[in-house]
Amino acid sequence: MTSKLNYSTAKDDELVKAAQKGDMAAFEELVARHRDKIYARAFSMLRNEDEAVDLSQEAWVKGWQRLNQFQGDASFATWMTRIVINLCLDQLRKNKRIKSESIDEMNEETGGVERQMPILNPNPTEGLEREELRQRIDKALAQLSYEHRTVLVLHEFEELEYKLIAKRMGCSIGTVMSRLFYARRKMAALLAGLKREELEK
Amino acid sequence: MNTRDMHLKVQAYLDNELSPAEARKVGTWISSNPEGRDLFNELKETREILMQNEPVLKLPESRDFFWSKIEREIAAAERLPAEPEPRPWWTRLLAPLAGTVALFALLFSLVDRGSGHMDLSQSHDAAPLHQLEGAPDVSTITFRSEAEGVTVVWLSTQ
Repeated sequence: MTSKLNYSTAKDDELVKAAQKGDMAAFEELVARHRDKIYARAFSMLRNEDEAVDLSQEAWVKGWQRLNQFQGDASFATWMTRIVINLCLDQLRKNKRIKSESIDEMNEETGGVERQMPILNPNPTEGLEREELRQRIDKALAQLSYEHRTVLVLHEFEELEYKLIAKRMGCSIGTVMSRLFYARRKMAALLAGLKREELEK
Repeated sequence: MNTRDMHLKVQAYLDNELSPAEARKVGTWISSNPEGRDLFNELKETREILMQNEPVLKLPESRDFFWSKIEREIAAAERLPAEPEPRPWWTRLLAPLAGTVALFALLFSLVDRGSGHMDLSQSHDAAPLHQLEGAPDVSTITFRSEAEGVTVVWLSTQ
């Protein structure tokens, strides 16, 4: 019985089942549990706090509306993350950030500076607290272009295969490989650069 | 294979995206080529650092405030009338067909009235439309087919 469900201790799938029957309190509990993760994914792609809040909210509304489509093949959090990623990709296309970052695109096509970069051993974990390292990564991610950041987020954080990333981003697998390669090399350079800056302080 | 392609293969090898045969080939190249090995190590280390240290962020709104916005949006969406069911595909064929039928009906009607020709400008039916519409014994039916870009006005003087 839904009325006997203890929301705070119930498992996600129990809350989902209750929410699918129209129990909004169960859905509220799911929102409370996963709102940070959904927001974080939106922010990692958009790099804009207001847009990330709005889109994560929209994702939750869509989640409620499509709840009956959730079959439990993946976890509820993964399913919600897919929704917010799709919304972010739509939003980024609308914002036409791809066009405004034409210099990055050009570099990607012709082989930007990262191709000529010497191979690095960033080793930025050395002597760093985890939180400090995360902040450094966040700072480096903010400096990537939309395409590089998105492909990195989808591959390293969401652990999607090349073909799935290509499908989501509407590009070829070759483009995904190329973007991921340059994104990783840029990140290595940025992390090494940030480390050098801190050492020089 | 050029350097760029080889670099991408090294990455694909790291990500387990190569076929077993290709993976063997690239693996051999990496182990025998210092530059390949260094590149592989750099990519691997970068990947591991990222995977293990995803930035943790908190939604900058309280639970209650965030939920109240979601709840309001859900309620607003549920108040909206449901979207009409999409019409079956065959109904789209009816519009041009109806236009053609109406046109033929108009032609038959004119012929049937014994005018013997279709020159409306020469017949007594050629009265301006606004006059006919105003006449008490004239009724008009207008049909517009968007698909054919045709408007048919059916006049009846009974």
